[in-house]
Amino acid sequence: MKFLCVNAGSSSLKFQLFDMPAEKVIISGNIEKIGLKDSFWTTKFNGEKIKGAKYLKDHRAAVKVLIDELLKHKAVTSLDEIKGVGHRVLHGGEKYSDSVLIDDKVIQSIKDLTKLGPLHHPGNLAGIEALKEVLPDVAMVAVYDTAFHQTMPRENYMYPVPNEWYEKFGVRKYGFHGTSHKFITTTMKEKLGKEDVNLIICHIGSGASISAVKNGKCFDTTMGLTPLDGLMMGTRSGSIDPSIIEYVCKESGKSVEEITNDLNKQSGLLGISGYSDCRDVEEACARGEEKANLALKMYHDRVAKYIADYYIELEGNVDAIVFTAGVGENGFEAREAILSRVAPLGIKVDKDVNSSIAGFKDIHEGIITTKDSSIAAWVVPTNEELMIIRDTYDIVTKM
Amino acid sequence: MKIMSINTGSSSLKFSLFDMEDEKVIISGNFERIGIDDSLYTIKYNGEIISEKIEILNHTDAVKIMFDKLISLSVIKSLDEIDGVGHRIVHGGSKYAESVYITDEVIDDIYNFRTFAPLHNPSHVMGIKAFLEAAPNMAMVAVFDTAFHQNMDKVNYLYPVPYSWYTEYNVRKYGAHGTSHRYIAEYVKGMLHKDNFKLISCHIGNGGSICAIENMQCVDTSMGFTPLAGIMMGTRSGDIDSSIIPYVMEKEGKNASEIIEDLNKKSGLFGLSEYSSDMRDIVKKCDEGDEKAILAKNKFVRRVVDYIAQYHVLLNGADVIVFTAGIGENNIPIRREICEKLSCLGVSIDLDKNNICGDVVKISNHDSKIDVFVIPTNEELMIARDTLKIVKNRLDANNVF
Repeated sequence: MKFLCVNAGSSSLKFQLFDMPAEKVIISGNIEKIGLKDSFWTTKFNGEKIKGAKYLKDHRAAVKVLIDELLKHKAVTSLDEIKGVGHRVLHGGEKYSDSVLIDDKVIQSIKDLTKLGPLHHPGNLAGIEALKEVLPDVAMVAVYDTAFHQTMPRENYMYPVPNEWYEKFGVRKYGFHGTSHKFITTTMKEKLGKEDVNLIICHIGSGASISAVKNGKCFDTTMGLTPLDGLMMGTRSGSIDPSIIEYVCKESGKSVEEITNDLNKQSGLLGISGYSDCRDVEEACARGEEKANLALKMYHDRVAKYIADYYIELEGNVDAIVFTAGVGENGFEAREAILSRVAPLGIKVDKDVNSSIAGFKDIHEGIITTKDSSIAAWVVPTNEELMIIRDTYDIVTKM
Repeated sequence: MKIMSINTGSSSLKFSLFDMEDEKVIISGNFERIGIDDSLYTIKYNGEIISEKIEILNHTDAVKIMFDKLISLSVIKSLDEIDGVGHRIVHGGSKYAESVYITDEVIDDIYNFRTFAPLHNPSHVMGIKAFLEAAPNMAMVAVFDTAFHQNMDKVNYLYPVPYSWYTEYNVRKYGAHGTSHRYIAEYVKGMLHKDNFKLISCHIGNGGSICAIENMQCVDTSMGFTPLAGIMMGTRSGDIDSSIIPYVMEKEGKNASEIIEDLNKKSGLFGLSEYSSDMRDIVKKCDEGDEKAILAKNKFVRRVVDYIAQYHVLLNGADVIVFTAGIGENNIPIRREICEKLSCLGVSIDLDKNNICGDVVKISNHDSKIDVFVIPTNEELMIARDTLKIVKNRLDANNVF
């Protein structure tokens, strides 16, 4: 059975076609600059990369390219072979704590939740609607980035702000990267051979969030109302003194929107070092650039601080600390720096093993702590697309 | 020698006069509603409380009335007996890493740093000027709330925001309650007879901040660019997702200053409980089973514990945790709940000892991996000590020549 995973952004559309239940990717692609004159796409099929370019007016035109690519490469011989489509949707608000079959009500709710995902939901919706036009009879599933975090207890998701901000406007912690945190949780349940796992999952890439998983469910997470909260990231500040916004507005003459934009796009590693990519910062640091060194230390410290917080929130009962996503999977120097900072919790990194694991090396996953470490730390590659397809497969096959 | 410690607010002036031989308060008092209707003062002397409603037009008036009372109560015969006056100053910017003798330059600086502390620094200048008018020859010292935190490393005081915000607008972590954290560090040093310990000082009252201290130096602290950052407080939110500001602005049609005001005055315990900003009230409500109060209390405890956990790791293992200020000194159940959550760090406390309030107590058990103390803070005394030291040094220097 073939299932299609779609991640539609405001000007991009990523897709992967899976063979299920074998969980094999048949074809994948990325269509970029939708709505702009120089739209282009890259398709990966049979180990080959195929590029194409043509003006794509909207998501409908992009979906036409997607279908053409599937047929052209004979990934499917007929569209009837596609048994389900899983859509990544940013925000499920408080309503969706799991993936759901898309119907008119679900579409309406995604529209209504645009207030919480203003940059993502218009693209998500355009993707769903364009796919519905070409595959009107195929079951579609919405997989929310926030859903996994809906199990957080109230004291963790509420901000200490006026209560009516929550009641009237939905101001609370929602968390993001839920599909990744869920994938890692599922994987760790298998690896540890138990359901009630307690984990600290560090999804650290350009965007970054940490989750505390208690008894197999999300207990706390670092991103908040929006993805700006929590850790320092590639271009995002993470948690800062909120007064800074008002102060810099006054000093710089910029608007609150501009400052918030700066906090999302000009801050984090980029703000301090001038580079947003962790690898570039590490290289600059090796060249002796002082600000790169500073940026890395700040980045590592913040990860270590949240690991300490979640260690206590889980009352010290942690089965594993898991590193995943770009930096987590590949940045062995970052992992070593972070783990040595949490040494007071009895965590001991195995430097040799740690430096042998990365996406670009032979070994992609494994335990990177010594046998006498109080908690085992793991590297486990994430796979959000597969999680989306697993959920879609489960829902469609149970229909 | 007699030293006076002063804390001036926009419409208030608090004073304590210390005999520095035994560091005891001889007399203390509070002038309130200065420049407003119904102004009054309250003075504590020899176990008695003297209170009077009297017109107090401005801070100079208050200082003059205070001096008159000191003489009429025979506390002093003349102003010459006061060897120095120390002023509490909320913000010393990046310039002052310790207390200083007050000169015209210092006064200008305090006024200029009002951009960081718009409510406090201008009032402090009024207080200093009132003393200059009432007693022009008095030696005065400025003791900054931010000074102790100036030792922080860049890694800890910088925010991950555009670097130019630091270089152009001085956006960085300054911290607050530095005088209290320093007093606690000094006290622990006296108790342990050493200064190479790693301490987490929890100053938790209506405002609250936590400070990581190593070798008597501040390593990191929870308050930030302003006192809004860090742990949850009586009416302040502490750390939140900054995006909440533009989001609520749009929903409520308010401007950024109004939202920041809400985060400072209508949030924290008050915001979540919708009942009170005072932890004593919240604890009472919790006992009645009030859900919002329980949520507020739990959240508060969690945020304190979060910072203790972070600083334990940052310090590479803390030796001592100290609770101080209103909640830290007096709230038995909150202290107990915080310490219980720290049990996975090897912290264990004696519940009987934890029931003691108002005194210095070691509340941890012998086998606790981290020693936990309750130590009442004394910022006024710290101010007086700094003042005495600086005044003495100046006298000694003058005597040499």
